[in-house]
This record gives sequence, C-alpha cells and structure tokens, in this order.
Amino acid sequence: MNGSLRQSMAWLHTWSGLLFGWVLFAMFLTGTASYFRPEITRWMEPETGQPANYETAITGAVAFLQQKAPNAASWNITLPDERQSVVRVAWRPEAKPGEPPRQRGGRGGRGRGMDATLDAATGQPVQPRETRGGEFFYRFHFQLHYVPVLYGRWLAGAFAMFMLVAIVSGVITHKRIFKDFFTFRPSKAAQRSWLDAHNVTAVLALPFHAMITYTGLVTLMNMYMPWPVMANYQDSQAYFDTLFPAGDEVKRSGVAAAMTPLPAVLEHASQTWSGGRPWIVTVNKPGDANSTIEVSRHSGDKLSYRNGSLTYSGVTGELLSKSPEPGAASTTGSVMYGLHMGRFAEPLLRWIYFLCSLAGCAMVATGLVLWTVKRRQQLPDPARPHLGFRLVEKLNIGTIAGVPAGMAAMLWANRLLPLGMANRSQWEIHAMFITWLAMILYACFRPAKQAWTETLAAAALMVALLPLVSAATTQRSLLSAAQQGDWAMVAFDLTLFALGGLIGFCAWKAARYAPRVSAKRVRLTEEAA
Amino acid sequence: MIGLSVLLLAFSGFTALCAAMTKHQLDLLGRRLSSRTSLQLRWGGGACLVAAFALAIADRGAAFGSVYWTGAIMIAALALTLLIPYRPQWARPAGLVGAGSAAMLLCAHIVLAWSGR
Repeated sequence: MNGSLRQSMAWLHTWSGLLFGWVLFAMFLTGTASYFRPEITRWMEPETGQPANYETAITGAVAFLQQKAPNAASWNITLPDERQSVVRVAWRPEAKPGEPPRQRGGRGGRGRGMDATLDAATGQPVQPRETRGGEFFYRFHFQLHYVPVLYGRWLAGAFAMFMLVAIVSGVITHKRIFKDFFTFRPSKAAQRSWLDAHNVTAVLALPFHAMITYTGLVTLMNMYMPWPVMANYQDSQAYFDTLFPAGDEVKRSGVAAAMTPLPAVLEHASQTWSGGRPWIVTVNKPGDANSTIEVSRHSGDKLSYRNGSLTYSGVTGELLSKSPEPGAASTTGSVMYGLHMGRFAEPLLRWIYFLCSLAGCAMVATGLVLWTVKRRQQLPDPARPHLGFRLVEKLNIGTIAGVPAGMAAMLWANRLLPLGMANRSQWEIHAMFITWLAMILYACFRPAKQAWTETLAAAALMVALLPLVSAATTQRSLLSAAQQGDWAMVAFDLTLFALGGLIGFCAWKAARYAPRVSAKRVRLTEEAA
Repeated sequence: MIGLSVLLLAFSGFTALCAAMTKHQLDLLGRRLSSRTSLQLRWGGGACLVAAFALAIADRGAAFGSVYWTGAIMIAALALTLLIPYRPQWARPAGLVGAGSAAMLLCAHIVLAWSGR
C-alpha cells in the first residue's frame, strides 16, 4: 500500500473486493432476484390466483374484516397492484384498560395470528403453502440470515460500505476507463480476458452499481449514522414523529355508524392523486362514528418511495386531511430509497434494472476469479499453491456456483417439501444454505477445473429443471399458465430456462478451458527445471 | 414503443462512438477511417444519445425519463460490447438498423397519436 495514488487504490480495490466478495456476491444475486419479488412469491405460492385490481380486492377485504373483526381497534389492508394476486389484511384488537396506547410503527396484528391472506379477485382466504416466498431473498440481501436482524443489518451495511470503497477505488485505479470503454477480448490470455470482463461489467453499468450501493446504504442511514438524529432530537421516536406525523389518535365515540363504501373512497383518492394508486388502507375504529380511513399512496407512483396519504371520514367518506408535504431533505432520501427499490419501474425498465444487477453479479464474480487467475501465474509451484490461494479458489467455486444453486434449491424445496411439514418455510431456507455449503465442500475435494465444470453444471441443471419440477408437483406449469393468460408466470419459467442455459454455458466454457500459457511462464518453468 | 426507440437510438449512438475510436475501426469496419470521418461519427453518436435523452424525457417526464435513459444507455453499451468480440461484422449494420428502426417507431407513434386525437 505505497506508491502512487493509482497503486494505493489498486491495493485497496483488490482487498476490499476480495475479503468481502463472496458475501457481496450473495447479496447482489439475492438483490437481483428481489426485482421480481412478487413474481417469486406468486411462483412459490401456486395455490393463489392471478393478480386482480384493487377495486375488486378492497370489496373482498372489507367483507372479510367486517365478518372477522368488526370491533377491532384498526384494520390494515395492503392492496395488490398488477403483480400481486393477494390482499394481505391484519387487525389490531382494542387495547385493554391499563395497557399502553398503541405504539407507532410495529407490525399491527401481523405475525400474532391477527392477519390473513385473501385472494385478490374473490376476497376468500387462501391458504398458500407455508413459505417466505420472494420476501426471503429481499430480506437476506440487507439483513442476512441466521443472525439477529439488527446484527445482520450491521454486517450487510459493513459489506455494502466496502462495496462502495471497491467501486470508488476501482474507478480511480482504472487508468484507461475511456480508452477501454468498449474493450472486451475473450480470446486473449486469461488474465487479460478476465480483467476485460471485469472492467466491462463494472464500467458500462457503473451508474447502476454506484447508485444501488449508495442508495442501499442511505435506506438504512439512520442505523449506520445515527449521530445527526441523536444530536438534534430527544430520541429517535421524536425524530420519526417529526418526519412522519401521526395525527391524533382516533378516540372511540361509542356511537355505532355504518362504514362508507370503500371503493368510492379509493376512487376519490386516486383522482386526488391524478390517477395515482392506493396501496395501504388503514381503518381506525371501524364501525364507530369517529372512524377514519387513511389511504397511503403506492410507493411506485413516483420516484420517491414515500408518497403520503389521505385521511377520510369512515362514515361520510369526506376528505379530512392530507399528510404534510415532506421537505427537500426528506424527499431526497425518499427518492434515493425509491431508486434503489425500483418499484416505479414499468416492465421494460424493470428488466433493465434486472440485467444491470446481473451485470453487477458478473462484476463481483469476474473480480474474484481474476484474483486467482493473476496469482496463479505468480505461483512458484502451480501444482502446490499456498493455503491462501487454495482458500480463495475453493470459496470462489463454491460461491459463484453455490449461491445460484442454493437459490434454486430453495425453489426445489418449495415444490418438494411436504405441505404440512413443521417449520416448512425455515427448511426451504435451510435448503439454500445447505446447498451453498455443499458446493463449497465439493470444491474442496476436486481439482479446480473439474470443480468449476461440475458445480456450474449442477447449478445449471437445478435452475433449468425447476419449471419441470413445478409442472410435475403442482397445477401450475408453463403450459397451464399460458392457457390461463398468466404471462408473468410464463415469463418466470422461461427466465428460469434462460438462466439455467446461461450457467450451463459457463460450465461448458469451464470444461473447454485450456489456458494459454504465456511465453514468459514457459521460460520460468524451464529455468526452474 | 418509445421506450424501444430510446434503446435502439442509444445502441446506434454507441456504435457510432465506438466506430469513431481507431482502436475498434478495424474490427467494426474492416478499415481505418480518416480523422474527419471519425470526428463526424463521434458527433453523430453523441447526437443519437442526446436525441434518445430528449425522447425519453418527452415520453416519460423528466424524472422517469432520465432514469429510463440511464438504464437504456447501460444496456445498449453492454449489448454492443458483447457483440464486438463475437460478431464484429454485425455491429455496423446493427447500428444502422437500430437508428432506422428507432426513426420508424417514432413515426409510427406520432401517426398513431395523431390519428387517435
């Protein structure tokens, strides 16, 4: 770590990339999958139907809640958009006398038996198989697993900070960033080709990589850098109350009153928002004369992720208040959050997000491989590399093949595990990590080239066979989805084939790999002999 | 439709910018170009990218448009860079076809919007 700025940055880039690369690869790949989180959830819950619009969904949700929890303190309804096929409802019972009033935030009744999943079109409860769905990949990529959530977020945040260091140091050290802009030469010597691949996947999608890393850190900035809040507010609760004013607690009047029809309220909200979409509906004190209905705007309507809410009277349906306009700093943070989540992206842009994110995974993977390719040439005895080299090589193989295989394994488990099994959703997740670990162990027992070929081939098969497993074990298959016009699920299965093909292509290249030995290397070997 | 035009224009723009670099001229075009032609290609390529930006903004608004354009140019550049080592001879026709298709799509969109009025 001495010499010119470029050399220092090269050292920093190498080490921040290498030490954190394996976990970063897993975070990147699960994050990539998260752009299709609702589709993955739908695939993993084949018992649910097709997406329906929110007008249909709200009627069913209200009917269910009126029958199930007519005297609740509040109802919470998460409406579907065109990508989800379920309405998720939750209710909070009235606080008993002596209990503290309800806290801001929290998950309402969710997770404590006071929630339900309803079919969006019919409003009937659905009982999908117990699974975390796409939610797992999303949560993993910023809070990991097998560690308490808070520690997981700290760890993931630390990894993301080193990702940012790697990006900035990489740009500084890349002297020929414009000259080599379009340069990709796969048929040159190994180190040159891998470096080209790393440069290309990194530089051409650099706006995405820089954005995703920085905005990812910003979404959890209050955790990673709490000092501004600590310096300016009594406590973090005061800060959140300032940022997201709650409004006064609705007090029960004791006078019963019929609820105004919700579809009309949602229609009014949509018009007030010039065609915007409602997302979460909270009914406070349903059935009471004082009840209110708070309608939050869909986070994909604008770049900003937080788009405010409107509060209506629960009895007359008249608009009572709007949430206050956020200030410039708050909006900036919300826009960064929104850019990261990409919820505003329509299908074409969503695929662009997905492809750029895959390029990011390729960037990390090519970087990891590049390290071993370069060091292999410098080994005094290539047949007996030192421990550090062997460790990196095994982890590379085990991770680059193992994480996609693991994600596929989770989907296999989703189809194959018995429906009534205890802790079923946890075991789907265990399947992912067991597979990843197994791939690393397999790589330890095979020579490098065979390990690459075999693990990549296994991963390719695991991904590509998923549509067939699905067809064999459920009602949902590629053909049945096409017949029903469920194009999202058709595209899902086709994408699995394509991704399996891509990994298979990598396995094929690994099998054919015959490294060009440079003339210098031949001379050195001859001198040593 | 406009989204596709933006993508195709971005691809053509990058193809022109790439062909303006002496490093890639032999692969793409089979011959070296004069520095004047290279300069014209550089301006032309830049103009395509700017036009793509204007189109994206006009269609989707400033916020969504600039995000979409940024995404489109990344994908276009990646597509071109993967094309060059494997099928360099396709790059020039692809660039021309790209620009032509973008123009046709734009005209189709204008005609449809006009007749729908």
